[in-house]
Amino acid sequence: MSDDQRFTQWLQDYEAERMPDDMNLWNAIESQIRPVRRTTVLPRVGWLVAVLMIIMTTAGVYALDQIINNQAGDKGMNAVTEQGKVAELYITNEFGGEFDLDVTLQTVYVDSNRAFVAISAAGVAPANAPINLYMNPHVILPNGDELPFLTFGGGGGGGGGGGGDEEITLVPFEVSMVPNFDASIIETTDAILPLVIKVELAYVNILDAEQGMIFLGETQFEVEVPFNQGVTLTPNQSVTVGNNELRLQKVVIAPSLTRLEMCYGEPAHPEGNVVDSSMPWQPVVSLSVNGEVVLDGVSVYLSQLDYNPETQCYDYNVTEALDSYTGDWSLSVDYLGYQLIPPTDELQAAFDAAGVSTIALPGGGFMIDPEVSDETSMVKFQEASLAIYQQWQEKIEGAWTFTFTVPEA
Amino acid sequence: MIAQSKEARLDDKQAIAHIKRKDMRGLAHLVATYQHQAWRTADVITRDIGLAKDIVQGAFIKVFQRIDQYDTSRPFKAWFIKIVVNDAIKAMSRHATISLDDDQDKIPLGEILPDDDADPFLIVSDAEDREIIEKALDALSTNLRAVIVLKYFLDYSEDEISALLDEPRSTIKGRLYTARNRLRLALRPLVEEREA
Repeated sequence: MSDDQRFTQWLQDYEAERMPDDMNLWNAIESQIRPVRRTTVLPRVGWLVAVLMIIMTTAGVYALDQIINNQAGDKGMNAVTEQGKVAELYITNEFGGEFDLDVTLQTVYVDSNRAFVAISAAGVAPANAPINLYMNPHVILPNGDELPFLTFGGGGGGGGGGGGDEEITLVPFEVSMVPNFDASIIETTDAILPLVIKVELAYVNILDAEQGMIFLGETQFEVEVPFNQGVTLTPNQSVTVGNNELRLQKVVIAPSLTRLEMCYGEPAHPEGNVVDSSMPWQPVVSLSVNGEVVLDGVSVYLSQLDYNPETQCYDYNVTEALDSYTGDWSLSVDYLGYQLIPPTDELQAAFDAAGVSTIALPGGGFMIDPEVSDETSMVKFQEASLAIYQQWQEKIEGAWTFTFTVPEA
Repeated sequence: MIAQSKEARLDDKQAIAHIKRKDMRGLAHLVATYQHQAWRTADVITRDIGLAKDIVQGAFIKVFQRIDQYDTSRPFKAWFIKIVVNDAIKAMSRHATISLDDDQDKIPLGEILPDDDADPFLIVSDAEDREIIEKALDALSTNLRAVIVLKYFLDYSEDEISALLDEPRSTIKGRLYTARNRLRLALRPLVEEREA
């Protein structure tokens, strides 16, 4: 064996010993890609979580309505749900297969800015071979175009089925999700919109993740749903504060979401412990209509698809129901924020100081103690998280204020 | 209803096509395929398992967000490893804990080379004293660890390393030469012990 071969072998052995193969980054990566409201957009449910839910809920089924109603963070979605604008369909396709899956399209909503669908899948899996079941829905227009995903807002979650008897080797489960889609490509004035909702299904064996994701197949639903038309305005105003000029080019106000097309040369990213250096600056906006404060310092969400590098224009999404506000709008970008990533030790120290129990992980890092899940602890966790992330945020103060009139419908 | 009952695993090209549609399944495949190699690569360069984890997570997120920058005619792995290695080097440049700078890499070889017939890697292969090897790796600069991991862990050629690091081949050759000799120097006590 040559020197090179020996050293290669040693490096491989050394690293295999230092870092076992069962270490998995996927959950952390997935949660960072869906950083804003990841807990409300959950296109999968761990089987183990489902089993825990069986213990907690004797009914064994987690009603999707409850999930939707718990989306306090997505006021636009809540508003259209309360207004009865969401089409309730509850169509079940018997998919079958090795997990005897039934897939149900529960509800669909579409307006000029976004669509969301509530889908669930129920089936059975061997008790000794837990799986993560994934659903990948597609919303397809009559012309064949597919709505892109929006990576914020929405709702979801999952639940478990029955089971619990050790003699039973197949255990029922149910998963559900409420994904968001970018509906801005829809060009219609029709009140009814025909859609095809296609759902791809796949799973991962939790105990044998090396197999990767295994595709099960797909099922589809053909439906007709109401289309909620929005209002489009083109203020095309520019405001300069300091060295930064912002232009509000277009505003689309739809019942569940308002979209702001803003253009600006993005300031240089700050130095710091930034894991993702491609993350853009984040506007924080306020809105007054006819002198009344409607929004006060809310973050607006950037879809990953919504930046045009040539025009330097971003589409920002306000997940609020603003379609009832007509008259004189004063929309203000209060500041541009940039989130740095706190060092792990500082983050852990902040949680410790706030009384949130943490557990150190081998090889560095920590996790929140899963044994502590009472409401008081969760509040402490949220407050501590907010405080440290605010401390680690860079800001460029504004305000850039735009004024325009929204006519009565 | 269409209900196909097929089982299929994605390949890299299919995974990238999924990512271009912002479909997370594609990224899940790439993470499952490359996470360990990437994490271990970053770990050798940074000597910090937590930092390496952050770097690899960040690299996968970049893949998801910048997939349009990827030239699909080239192997995905090379593009991805380039992100990981460059981010690891950049991360280390922000840390003040590097024990040797590049100038120190240029110690005249005649001052540090042990006898040519002494083979430090024979001792390494015995795995009797990995701590000494760890110290040897720790004593290398970031750039030297980068070429070591690319050469010996990922089996890249000097030309490939040159392209990946955007450095002339002569520079890479020199770094590899220096790195090997540094390791020999660090391992000399063991060699001498064995010879005695």
